[in-house]
Amino acid sequence: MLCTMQPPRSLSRFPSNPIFLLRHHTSLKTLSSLSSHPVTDSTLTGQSQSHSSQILKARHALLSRQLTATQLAESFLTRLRLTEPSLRSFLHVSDTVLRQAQDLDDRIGRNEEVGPLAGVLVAVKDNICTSDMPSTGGSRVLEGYRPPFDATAVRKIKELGGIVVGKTNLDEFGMGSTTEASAFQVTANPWDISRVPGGSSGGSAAAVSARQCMVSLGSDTGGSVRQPASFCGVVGLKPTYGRVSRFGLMAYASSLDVIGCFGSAVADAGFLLHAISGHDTLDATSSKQEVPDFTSHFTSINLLESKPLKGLRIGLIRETLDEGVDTGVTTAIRGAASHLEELGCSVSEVSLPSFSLGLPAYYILASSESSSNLSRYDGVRYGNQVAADELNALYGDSRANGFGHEVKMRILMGTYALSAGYYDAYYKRAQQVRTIIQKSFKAALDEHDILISPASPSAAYKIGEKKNDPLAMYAGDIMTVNVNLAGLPALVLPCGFVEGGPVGLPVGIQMIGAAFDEGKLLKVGHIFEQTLKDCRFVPPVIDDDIDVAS
Amino acid sequence: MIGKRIWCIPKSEIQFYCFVLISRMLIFSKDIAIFVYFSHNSFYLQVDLNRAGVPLLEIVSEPDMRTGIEAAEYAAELQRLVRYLGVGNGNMQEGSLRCDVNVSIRPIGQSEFGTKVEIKNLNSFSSVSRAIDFEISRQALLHSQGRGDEIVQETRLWEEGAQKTVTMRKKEGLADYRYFPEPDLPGVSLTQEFVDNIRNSLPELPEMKRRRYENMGLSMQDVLFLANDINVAEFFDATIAKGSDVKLAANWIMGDIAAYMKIEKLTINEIKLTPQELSELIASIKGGTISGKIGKEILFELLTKGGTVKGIIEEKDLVQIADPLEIEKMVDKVLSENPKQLEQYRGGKTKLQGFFAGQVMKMSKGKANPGLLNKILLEKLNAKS
Repeated sequence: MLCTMQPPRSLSRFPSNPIFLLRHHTSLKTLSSLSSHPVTDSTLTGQSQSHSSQILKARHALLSRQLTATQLAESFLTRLRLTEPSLRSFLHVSDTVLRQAQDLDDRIGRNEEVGPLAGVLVAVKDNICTSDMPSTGGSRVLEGYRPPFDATAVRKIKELGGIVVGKTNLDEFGMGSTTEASAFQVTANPWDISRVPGGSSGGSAAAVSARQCMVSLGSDTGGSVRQPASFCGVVGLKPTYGRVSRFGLMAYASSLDVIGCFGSAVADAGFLLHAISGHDTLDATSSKQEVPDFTSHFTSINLLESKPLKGLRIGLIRETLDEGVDTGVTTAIRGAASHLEELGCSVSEVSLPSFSLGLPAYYILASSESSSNLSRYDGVRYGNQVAADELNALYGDSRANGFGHEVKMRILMGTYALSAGYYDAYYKRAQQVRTIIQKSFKAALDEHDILISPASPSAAYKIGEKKNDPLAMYAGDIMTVNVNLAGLPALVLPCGFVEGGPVGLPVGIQMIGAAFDEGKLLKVGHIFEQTLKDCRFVPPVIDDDIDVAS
Repeated sequence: MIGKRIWCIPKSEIQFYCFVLISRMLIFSKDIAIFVYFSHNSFYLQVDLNRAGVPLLEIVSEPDMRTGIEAAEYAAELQRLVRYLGVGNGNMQEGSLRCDVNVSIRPIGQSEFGTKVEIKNLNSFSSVSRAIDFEISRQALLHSQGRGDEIVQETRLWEEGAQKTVTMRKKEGLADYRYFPEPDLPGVSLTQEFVDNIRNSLPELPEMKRRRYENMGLSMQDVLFLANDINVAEFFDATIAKGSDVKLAANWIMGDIAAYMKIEKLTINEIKLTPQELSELIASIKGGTISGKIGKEILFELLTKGGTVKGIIEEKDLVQIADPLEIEKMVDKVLSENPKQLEQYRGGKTKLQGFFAGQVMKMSKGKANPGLLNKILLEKLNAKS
C-alpha cells in the first residue's frame, strides 16, 4: 500500500538457474547439534519473500540436506558470472569458493559441527584486508597488494564458516559517494545500469542487491554503507562506532570509520553484525560493550500483534525533509512514517538545529584525518613504487602516480585545514561542531527511541552526473554524516520507490538509534520490513527466483 | 624496556634569568631503528630495525633550568629513576637513554623566552652540561654584539672533539607538523585501584633513599655515593640489615670495595663479596677476633675469591692473639733480642716504643691484639727503670 510503484516483472532478465529447482532427497537426519545459532527459523516458515533471510535459508537448506554447500555456491557464482559484466561490482572473485564449499559438504557429510555462517557467501569491500586475496582499497597505489593478515571482521566470518566470495569495488579508500572514484572500474546500479550504485561501498551494495552473494561487508565513514543501501534497495547497517573492530580496515578517517553490513533482509544484517562485533585488542577504539544477540527478539509476521510497536517513540528529523530533498523521497519517507504509526509507534517531528552544520564539519574532519592516515602510502611500505633518483622524489612520484583525483583533493583539503594559522578556524571549529551535534542527538534520543530520516536526498542518479561537481556529490551526504559525527548506529532499509530507470528506483529510510542500541533498530526494521506490503526489492537485472530453498 | 629516551628542555640562560621546574609532558612513542656504525672509516652504515616497536617514553620538562650542570643533574636523576624502577638500563652510550636540550636566553626583566635552539648528539651527562654552557655563551655573545637576530630556531649538533655546537638543520615551526589528536588512541581512564597498585609496588625511589640515609647520620658525600647506584644502595642496605654499624659499612663500601671495583672495572653485583660476609667482617673486627689490618687482608680475599670470613680466618690461622701470656712471651723475646735498643729506650729515647711494638707484631704475624700488646710492652719497658 505504501509502495506506489511496483517493479513490473516483465523486464529482460537473466535466465533462472536450474540449480534452484534441484531437490535432494537425502536423509533428513536431525542435525540439531549443528544449530549453534540461537535464532530459530520461524520467521521464514512458508515465506519466499524478498526480505526473508538468505542466511537462514542457506542454513536450513544445508542442514536439512536439501542442498549442498557446493550447489548453493555454484548457484551464486553462476549468477555472479552472468551479472558481473554489466554490474562490475567485484574487483576480485575468489577462486577457492567451490573448494571451501566442498570442504563444508564433507564436514556436513561426516556430521561434524559447522559454524552459524556455514556456507554463507560473503562479499567484502576491498578496503578490508583479506590474506588470501588482493586488497587494494580501490587505489592504484595498492594495486596487487596482498595483506599478510585478515581483518578481524573477516577472520570472525571465516571462523564461523562464512565463505568470502570476493572483494567489491569502492571509491578509492572510501572517498566518494558513487563508486566512480575507484581506480579500476565503475560499478552499475542493478536497478538501472546507467545509474550509480552509490558509494563508497557501491560494490558491496550492488552485489547483495543483485544476489551475487548473500551478505556483504562495507565501511561507513560518512554514509558509505547507508547511501548505497538506499540506492540499491538493500538493507545497510552502520553499527555504533567501536562496535566492530577496525583492525584490517584501511583507515580513511579513524574517528568516523566503521565496518558495516549489507543484506537483502534485516535479519541478515543482524546475523552478520553479531558475527563481527566485539572488543578486539588490535583496535584500541573497539568497545568492550557486551554484544547482545541482536536477532533473538525477532518475531515472525504470523505472530505479530496488530500494533507490534505500540509505545515506540519515533522522531522524524524535520531538517531532513527540507528543500533540496526530492519530493519522491519525501513522500516515501512520510509514507514510511505513517506505516510506523500503523504499527503502533507515536511519530512526531523533531528538530536538530545543528543538522546542516554536519556536512562542513564532516568534510573538514574526515579530510584532516585522511591527510594523516594516507601518509603511509609512500611507495616504500606498501604497494607500488615509482623509481626515482632520490627519496623525496620516490615518495612524491609514487603518491602522485598512485592516488586518484578525489583522494588528492581530500589530502590537500585536510593538509590545509590542519596548517598553521588555519587549525583553529577549521579543524578546531569542526571538533566543536561535532560536540554540538553529539549533544543534540543525545537530547533528541532522550525524547525518542528512534529517529528517522531519508538515507539520501535522492534516489540513484546517473553515472557521470555529479562527477564534475564534487560539491553536489558532497551535499548528497547530508543525511548520513551527522550520524558518523555522533558515532551512533543507523539502519537503512528500503521503504518505497521513486520514478526512474526501467522499473523505478528504491528509496531507503534511515533509522538512527542510541549508541549500542542496534538491537532495537533491527527489531523495528524487521517488523517494518515484514509488514511493508506489495514491495519487492529485487532488481530487474536478475531473475526473480532467488529463493534458493524454495 | 620502556624509558629509552629523555628529552629535557632546559631553556638555559645566563645568571640574570629565572625559572621554576615541573614536568610538562610525557610522550609515549616507539623507537624505529638505530644506526650501527662498523668503523669510522666505513662507507657503510647499517640500520638495525630490531628496535622497531620498542616502547619509548619522552619526558619534556618545563624551561626551568639555568645552567648546564643543573640540566645534567636533572637527566642524571631521571637515569637513577629508570634504573631504580627497573624499566631500563638508562645507558646513554647505548642510546637507551637519550637527551636533547633546548637553550634560549633573554635579557633580565623580559618575560617572554628568546628563540629556542635545540642541541642533539649528547652522549653523556658531561656533554649535556658542557653543550648547554657553550650554547649559553654563544647566544650571550651574539646578543652582546647586537647580533641577537642571528639566533634562529634550529637544531645544532654538539661536537665533542671541538667542544662546540654547529648548525645541523634549520627547523620548521611547531604548527607545521600539523599535529591533531590521534583518533586511534583513545583516552585511557585509570582506576584508582590501578594507580594505588602501582604506587604500592614502587620501590624506594632515589630521593626517599637519600633522605633515609641522611637521617641515619651519614654525611652528604656518603649519601650521594651510596644512593647513586641502586645496586650499591641495595648492597649497603643488605649489609646494615645484618646489624652492621652504618658508618663502618659505608666506609668499607666507599673505600676499599669501591677502589677494588674501580680498578677491576666491576660492578658491585660482579664482586664475590656478599653483604652477609661484609657484615661478618665488620663484626669480627669490632668483636676483636681479628685486627683491622687482618680485616683488610680478608676483605681482599673475599672480593677476589669469595668464601666466608670464618673460613678464611680458620684456613689462614688469622685469629687475633689475645692471650696476655703469649704476648708477654713474645715481648720478652723481642726485648732480649734487642738489648741495645732497650738500653737506648731506657736512656730516654722513648720513641723506640714503636720499634718494639712493630717487632712484636711482626713476630705474631700481625695477629697480636694491638691494645694488649702495647699495654704489656709498656709495662715491660718501664719495669726495670
